[in-house]
Amino acid sequence: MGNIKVRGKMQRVAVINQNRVLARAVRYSTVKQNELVSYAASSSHIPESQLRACTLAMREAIAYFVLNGHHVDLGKFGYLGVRSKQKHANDAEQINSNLVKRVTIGYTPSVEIKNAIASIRITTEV
Amino acid sequence: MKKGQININYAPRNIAILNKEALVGQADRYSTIEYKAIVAYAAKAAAVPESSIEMAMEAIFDAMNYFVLNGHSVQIPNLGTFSIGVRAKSAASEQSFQSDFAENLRNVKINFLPDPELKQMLASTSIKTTSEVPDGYSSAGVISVSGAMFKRGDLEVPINEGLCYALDQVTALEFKGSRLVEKFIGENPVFITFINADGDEVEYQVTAARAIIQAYDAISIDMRWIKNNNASFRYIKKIELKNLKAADAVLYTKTLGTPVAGVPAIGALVVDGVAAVPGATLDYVAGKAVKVQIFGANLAAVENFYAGATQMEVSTASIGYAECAFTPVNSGNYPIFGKYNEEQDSTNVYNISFGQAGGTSITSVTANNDPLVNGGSTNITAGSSYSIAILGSGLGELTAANFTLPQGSTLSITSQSDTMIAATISNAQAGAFKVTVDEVDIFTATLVAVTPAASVTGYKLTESGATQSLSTSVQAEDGGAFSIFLVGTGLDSLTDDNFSGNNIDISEYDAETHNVVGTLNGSSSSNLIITASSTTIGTITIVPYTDDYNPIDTGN
Repeated sequence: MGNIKVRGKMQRVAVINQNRVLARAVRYSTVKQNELVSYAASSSHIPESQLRACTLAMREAIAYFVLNGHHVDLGKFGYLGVRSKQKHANDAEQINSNLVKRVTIGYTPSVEIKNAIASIRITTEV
Repeated sequence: MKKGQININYAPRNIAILNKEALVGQADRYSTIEYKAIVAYAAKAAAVPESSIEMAMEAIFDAMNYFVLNGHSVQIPNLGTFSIGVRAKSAASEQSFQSDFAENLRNVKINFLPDPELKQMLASTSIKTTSEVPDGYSSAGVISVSGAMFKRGDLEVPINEGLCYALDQVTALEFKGSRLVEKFIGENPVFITFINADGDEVEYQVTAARAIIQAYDAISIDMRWIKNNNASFRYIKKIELKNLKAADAVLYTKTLGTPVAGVPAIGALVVDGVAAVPGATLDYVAGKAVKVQIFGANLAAVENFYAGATQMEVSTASIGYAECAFTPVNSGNYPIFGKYNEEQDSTNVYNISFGQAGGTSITSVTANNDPLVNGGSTNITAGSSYSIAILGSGLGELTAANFTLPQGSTLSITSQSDTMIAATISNAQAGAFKVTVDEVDIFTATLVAVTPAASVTGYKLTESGATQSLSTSVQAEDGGAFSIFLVGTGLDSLTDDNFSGNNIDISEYDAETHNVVGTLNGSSSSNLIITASSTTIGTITIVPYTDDYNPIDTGN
């Protein structure tokens, strides 16, 4: 079960022009790939070199497919795919690439992750 | 890495917040690449066994789960960073934030922040916009359904409980504008009324009227059948109203009366996809069959359909629809009607005239002034050139592509109008000569190559004189009379009929001495044309006598 901290911080909310306490998940640290691989190696007894090679190959494969518009299944971790934001058009003549405002990559958690998220223990601090 | 491509596809969707329908874009998802496929791809690219990658990624994902779900952010170089985030309602104070957090918490989610390198690659990815816009789509066409609103969920009636009832139940569905994408199933035949381009309200049975409605370019209906429990059910997959900005259309059902034997009621007619109105004139190409679609009542009971005196070939006949074919040969009025037991109701006759306004017809074709008969054959001299003159109507649109010539022959159009074409056939060869319009041959002739029985190589002014070239002229003596001895082969077979020429009269041809005697009428020079087997074998110019006439060689 996961365990996260949520910190409340008083901030100006411009849209309502008031000071409100907003919630934000505390980020304990940023785990770099080396740490991730080391942790995975120690818990799985797979050589770090092998993990490193496999991670490299996988991220290349994932990037290739995502950048070509495919939805990529990351196994029990979820999915990655392209998302876009664009203006709507009133008729076919208006459609052109200028309407596309942003193209980004979105992540969708797997059901397993969603269940894990649902069981996360959350503690608050101010 | 190879530059990627992402399609943004626009399709009509309802925008709830704006309460209107518009074309909304969405990144196309080409496919979902299964985890196994990704592993296989990576294994192949990195030359690492698939099993190793699977094991490794299992361990990596476990580690990611652990870190991310415990508040760490996890960075995957060149891919991005995963971290956990919360959404919660803001609180007025720190105290209430602590105490009311459980109520204020909306959700917990994992955020993904793409790596700058990936973002850069994404920025250089080509973005292509595509659209699935129905023809005639306009934002003016806002779907507004009054009465019973159809939703897909409404139609999920258990099909095994009998025929579905959606449309039957609500009796009528009004909608405006561009399209309705819903399906519904009715027990009874579905009808549609709408305002046509002339502003008249028209009604058609949907099952039978697809073609005519489409012919008006007003609506398209995608109607299908499904089978369930061994029974077929009709449903409409999609309806698109085209070019009907604010016009209403109403879908409804009604029970058709039992068709009775009797005079057909022709409601509407479509000829070759063109909606016809009584008295209209339609263009045609002679000899080309037209497809006549008839919409109305009692059509199934009608055994015969006629266009003028021609009985049409019926390929389909049902209660409300019949499809026939006939071939108008000549222009004129072709009343179209159905006939049953020799009855014909004059009020149900569609008078359609088939004209030639836009069509093409040929009245005559000549080659070197000799007529070519449509369907006949004409002798030619292989390798010769022929001047072709075509008279008729609608000829202005023809090009060399409309002409079929024997292999080796070429045709060039020298002048052209709507009623005349002057052309030249070079290197004429034996074979078929055709004029074709809209894949229908409107003129055909067979060219037959012949070898003339005689040939002329020159002439003499006296029987024993020197041979002259055909290119030198002969002066007519004593006010018009001339006498020429021909030189050549096969001249014994010629007769007076083989000689002709403007302003020239042939008084005699002696087949033994090959002497032709004639008269030049008038003061202008003229050509004496010698033919054999319909082929010109020689031309001699006869010029009027002058004072300085000096015979080249009389031989006397």
